[in-house]
Order: sequence, then structure tokens, then C-alpha cells
Amino acid sequence: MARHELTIPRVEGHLLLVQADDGQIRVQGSRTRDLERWLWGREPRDALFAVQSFCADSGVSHALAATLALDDAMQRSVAPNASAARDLLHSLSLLHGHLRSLYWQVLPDYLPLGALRNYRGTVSPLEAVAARLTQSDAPDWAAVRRHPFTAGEADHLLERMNRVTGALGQLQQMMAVLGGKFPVVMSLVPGGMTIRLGEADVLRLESLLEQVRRVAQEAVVADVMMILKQVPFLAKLGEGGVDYLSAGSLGADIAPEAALFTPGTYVDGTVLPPGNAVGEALESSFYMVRRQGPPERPVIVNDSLKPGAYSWVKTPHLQGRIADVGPMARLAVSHVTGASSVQAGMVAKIEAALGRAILDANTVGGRLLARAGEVDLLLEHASDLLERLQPGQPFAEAGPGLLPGVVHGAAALEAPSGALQHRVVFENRRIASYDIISPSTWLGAARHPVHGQGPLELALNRNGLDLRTPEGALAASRIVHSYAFSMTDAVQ
Amino acid sequence: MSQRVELTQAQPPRGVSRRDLLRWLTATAVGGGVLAATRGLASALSDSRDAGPLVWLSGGDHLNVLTLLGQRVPTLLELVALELDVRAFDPLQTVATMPELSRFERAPVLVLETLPLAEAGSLLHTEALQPLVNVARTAILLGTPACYGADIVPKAAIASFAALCKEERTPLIKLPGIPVPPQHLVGTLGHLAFFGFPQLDVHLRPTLYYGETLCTHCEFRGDLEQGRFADAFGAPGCLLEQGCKGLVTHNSCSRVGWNERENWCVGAGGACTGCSEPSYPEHDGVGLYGNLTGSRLAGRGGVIGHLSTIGTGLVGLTAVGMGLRVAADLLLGRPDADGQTPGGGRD
Repeated sequence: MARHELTIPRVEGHLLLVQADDGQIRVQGSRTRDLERWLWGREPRDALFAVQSFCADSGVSHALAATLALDDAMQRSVAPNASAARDLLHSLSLLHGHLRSLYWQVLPDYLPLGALRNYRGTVSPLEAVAARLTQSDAPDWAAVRRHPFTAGEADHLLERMNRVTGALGQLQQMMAVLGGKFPVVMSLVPGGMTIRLGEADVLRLESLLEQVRRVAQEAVVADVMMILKQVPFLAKLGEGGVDYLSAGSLGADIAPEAALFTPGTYVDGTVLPPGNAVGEALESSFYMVRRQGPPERPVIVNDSLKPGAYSWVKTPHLQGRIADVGPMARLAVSHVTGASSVQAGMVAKIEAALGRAILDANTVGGRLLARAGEVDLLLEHASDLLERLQPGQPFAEAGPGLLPGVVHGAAALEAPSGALQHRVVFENRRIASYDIISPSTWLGAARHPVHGQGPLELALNRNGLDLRTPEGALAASRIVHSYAFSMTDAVQ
Repeated sequence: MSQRVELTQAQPPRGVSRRDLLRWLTATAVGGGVLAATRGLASALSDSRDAGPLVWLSGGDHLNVLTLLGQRVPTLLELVALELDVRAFDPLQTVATMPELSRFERAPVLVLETLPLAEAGSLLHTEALQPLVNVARTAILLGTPACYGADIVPKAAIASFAALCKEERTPLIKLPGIPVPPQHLVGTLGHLAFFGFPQLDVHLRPTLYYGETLCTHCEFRGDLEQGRFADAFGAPGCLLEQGCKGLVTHNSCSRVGWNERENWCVGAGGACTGCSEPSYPEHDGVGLYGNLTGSRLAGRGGVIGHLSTIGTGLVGLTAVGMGLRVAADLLLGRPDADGQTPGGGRD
């Protein structure tokens, strides 16, 4: 087989898959953005803003992780009102990420937007697009129209996409109420948030959430089921690993057992106790460790000519195992730890739909269903959080600042595509080093001579895909999008 | 060498009407009322201009894609149906390819979010870009990294691209911001379609959107003028002493807001980081959250001096604006009580 390169569409940054002569597919793409290093020497608050450009869908998660790491370093307590508002912001960003991923990244793999040409429904904007696409000078992208759905199903899914797009706007409005704007929220500060919300603001949030609920509740799972019905081999396509990591979120800091997403690790068939350190290997990546100073300390520097390296993505690992992260990992960890019963219904639904046990369901179909299932959970959780907001009460409390000298801060939480960790060292109230392990770094991890392949490469290489063929290219696209992978997020 | 595609006559309206787009454009521009009143809705509609096909090449983060996806008036799908004629845009594509130039009957508008880089995986290499720049009617750089160099885009790449545009005689427009308000892109495209090339400032930004500083329309402007400054985030007062860069930042945020006018950075108590300025993020050594009063404006006196300039401009603008607003409202209809863009005005 001759070497072949394939760029996957609808992925943030450039994701290039390279299939070598031996048929093995490797994940390549954008070079490092050097943003971690850009933060060195800067003011601590700069990170709260800057990290949001790592990834559009995970931006709020990054900002929250940076804020929590700073809270940790300052030993700041967070006002209850702010804690609820932060969790609400987090929940909304996860909802937004899931809906955008499922309808604007995943759905076109099954129902290309060229299908709008054949739309026969009565929704005005869709009729207008259909009219445009039937003209002789229709754009190239409209030429791709093949899909497995009946005309009625296709029209239904296109209308759903249109309604979900409206819901994305409403979610963005909600996040603007809490954060000033979206993407890139501006209200997070150590110890709380800068917002002041009145009764009218909370009513506004409730109204917007209700509009999103009308579009998304239960319907998203039904849409994914419709895709699975027409493309049944998704139950087996793109099987990932069996090791799972969940950083936990939305209540995990208060009581892990009551959190919406349970923290935990499941490695080699065993639930590991909390506190296992995550390492990063560099063998196959364009980086090397060098001692720099003063004061002299080891730092990671770029080496684009490093022999044997092929990727700008590092290789994170847990005791030598590269874990899967994301909604399926969250579901699996919740299942094996028995900590959360709220996801039991989704486990049963996935097992029934795929005909596989949940720990054996890490396939394209399983991952899509796990993501869709979280939409309903997050809607409920956001509704609960809204009730906890206390209009008119402060969202920030005064507290200690950073102490001089060397201070460490760390935070971990769940981003839409999986576990996210920020580790910071402050020195004399400046950022001395900043280390981020993003979900896409886990997913796109460069293969390691000992630790093996990362989840994405593992999934891409299990089905004998030939990227030169349209079928192979489409299958690869479906596998990548099932992970909600972001190349920019993988290479900070 | 140049084989520039000549513009043909505008295509007849299709899908959502041009009038809808024009109404939306003028309602969201900083100088929208002035624009509509001086150029006229009727004359714009009868003008046989056309923005040409849109080729939007993504490459970096998807911040700007998200804002457009969340845009509700008009939605992305409505934009597809409009005359904007979206030929290449990553979210719409099933296969990642560069558009075929031979399929263009009219000169395209090229939108770039990053610039050619010698790296694996990049569709945007110079060889691929040069023919597109050659035929493009206009090139638009979208977002602060592409406009000024930041993140993975080195400043040398900006200079190199500007030189390429000059060589190919392709006019260049910069729309900076992290992210760019969606109305800036759609509005600029609308301006190209209805009114021709927009007026730019010295940094190649359309003055329609980047013609005023944020303090001009900020809700805390009164506090600034009275010297009431917040002593901490979340406290009442102007955020200048918390590092806000509104005084030196040219953008429409304080007037148009974000996410369907829902809010903006300062409205949520956050300081403006000056993300649309060429000096971002260092701001001449002040940094993202450094205090302008202590350095760049040389103390409070500098602020007051600056305010007098703003104030003089405002008096003039208010006088002109009051007269033009009446005409604009007649043509466009006012935003409704929710602050939404007018959609049901007179056709």
C-alpha cells in the first residue's frame, strides 16, 4: 500500500491522517501552538483568558480549570452562589459542545448538507437553502448527497439540525448572561465571578433553558438511534481502548459520589484509587526535555527534527496505559464504580442498541449514544443549578492573593470531549510553568514504544481501513468525529 | 500573470431577500444608521453589486465558526441561502478540499483565519493560496491571530500575505477580535455586496465596526467621567483601574453587544482585554490586565485628556446622529423591546 494522506473535515485545526506503506494510520496535523510556554512569566490572571483559545468547544472548561487552579494556589474558597454559577456555565458549555458536535460534526458524515437540495418540508430557511442548491451554480459541497435515510427521515434530521442550531444560539445567550459573551467568557476570577444577577436575569436564563429543553430533551438520543438504525455497523466500527479516565465534574469537588460525572480511573480491568499521577511521554513527539534556568529546572522544548518523532501530540499515560476519555469513559467509570445511578438508564439503552456490554461498547455507535445521553442529564442539572442561584447576592468574596515564593496550583474537570487537567507553578506571583493535559491530547496521543497506541489511532487501525477509498475516508471521518477530537486542543 | 475573474452582473435575489440582509447589516453596524441614511436602502437594492462567492478557509481554532453557528438573525443556514454564496466553509463540507477555481464565474471573497505555514496537515500552503488570492475580489483576515500575528501565526506570515495581496492587487480587510463578532463578517460581506468596498482605518479595519472606542458607548462611561472606579472585580464603577482596555480598543462590543445583544465583557463585570487592537496582548508592556492609568495614559490626567477628545467627537456625532436616526428608523424599523434586530419592517 502506498503512503496516503487524508485531511479530515470539520475538525478544529488541521487533522491529517497518514497511512503508511504497512497500512498503519497515524494521527498528525498542526504543530504545537506554544501557548503553555507563552504563559510563562505572565500574570496569573492572563491564563483565565488565554487558555480559552485552545479549543472553541472546550474553552469554557479550560477557563474554569485555570480559575480553579488559581483558586487552589491562592487557597481561596468559592462563594456558594459563584459555585452554582460556575457549574451552570460549565453545564451549558458541555451541552453546547455536545449539540454542536452531534449535529455539525457527526451528522454530515451520515447526512451530507448537500441533501438539503432534496428537502421537501416546510421550514422556511431550509426551503430557501434547497432552492439555492438546485441552481446551476450550486457550490461544490452540495454535490455530495448520498445518504442511507428515507426522504422523511432525512427531512426530519435536517429540521432537527436547524432547530438545534437555534438552540446553540440560545445556549450562547445563556453563557453570555453568565460570562459576558461566548465563546471566550470574561467573568471568571479567583474566588468567584464578576457578574451581578438579578431576578430578571435568572428568569431570562430559565426562559432560554426551557427553549433549549424543548429542542433537545430526549430528541437527541432518538436522532442518534435513527442513525444507528440505518448504519448498524457503527455498533462495531472504530473500537477504542478498554482503559478509562474521568476527572469528574459538576459536584465532584463537594462529594464525588454525588457528582454528575464521577471521578475515577478504570485501568486493566481494575478501578484505581484516586490520586494516580498522570505522566506524559515524549518519545514519538517533537519535544525534548532540557534544563533551563536560573533557577535551573527541566523544561519541555520543541524539536521538530527529532529522529523517530512524527506528532506534535504528546503521550499522556496512567501507569503506562493511555486511557480513553470522554462521555463513554465517564459512563464506564460511573458504571464500574457504582457511584452514580443517574446514568444507569443510559447504560441499559446502549447495551440494548449495540448488543454489547457497556465495557465492550466503546465504538462509534456507543460513543455517539453516550454523548447524546449526557444531553438529557445536563439539561436536568442546569435546571437544578438555576434554582440554586441567589439573585442579588454576591458572586465573589474577598480572599487572599498569591503568596510570594513558589506556589503550586492544580485542577481537573471534564470538558466536552473528556478529562482535562491544568497544573501550574507560580513563582513570585508570576506563572513559572503551565502544564495542560487536554482530552484531545489523550485521544490523539502519539503511539509509544511501550505504552502503545492512543485511543484515536487504536480505533482507526482496528478495521483495516484504506484511506485511499471514499469508504475508508468516510469511515475514518466517522471515527474521528465520534470522539469530538480537536487538533488545536491536542497541541497546546 | 493576473487572470482576475471579472464580476458579472448580480444574480437575481434568491432565498432570503437581500433586503433582509441589508436591514440586518445596517442595524448591527456601529454606524448603521448613518450608512443607511446616506446610501439609502432603495439605492442599495437597485445597485447591481455582488459580493461574489465566499471561500472561507479555516485553519486555527473554531471560535469564529462557533459565533456564526450561534448567530440567530440570520442563521448560518439562512446565510447559505443568501447571496453570500458560500462555496467553501469547513462546517459545510463532507470532504476537506480546496475549491476548484474553474467553477467560479465571479471573483470570490476569500476569508482566512490563519496564514500559510510550513507544517504537515495544512491545506493552506502558499502554492494553494496564491491562485485564490490572484482571483479574489477581496481578502478578509478573520480574527486577531490572522490579522496581527499571534499564537501559531508569526508576524512574518502577516507581512508576507500582505505583500502577496499587494502583488496580486487584491484589497485586504482585517476583522480582528477573539473571536470576531459575527456581524462584522456578515456585515462586511453585505457592504461589499451593496455598497462596495468599505472605508477602513489605518489598521485596515472597517470603520463601521472599529470606528469607535468601547468607552464611547459603555454603560460605565458616566463612572469614568466622574472618576468612579471599581476597586475590585465585581465592585461598582468603571473598570479602568482593573486593567480594562476599553479606552484604547476600537470595536462594536459596547454598542452591539454579543450573542444577540445579550451581554458583553464589561457588562458581565470583566475587563476588556483589547483583543481587537494591534497592540494585543502586550499593549506596550501593560499586559492583558495591566492598568492603563499607570503607564500608557500617564496617570488620571491622561485619562481626562483622552476623554475630552472622546467628548468632542461625541457631541458632533450626536448632533448628526439624531437627524439621521429618524431617517434610518423610517427605513429600517427600530430594534424591538428585546433588542432584537428588526425582521418585520416594511418591505
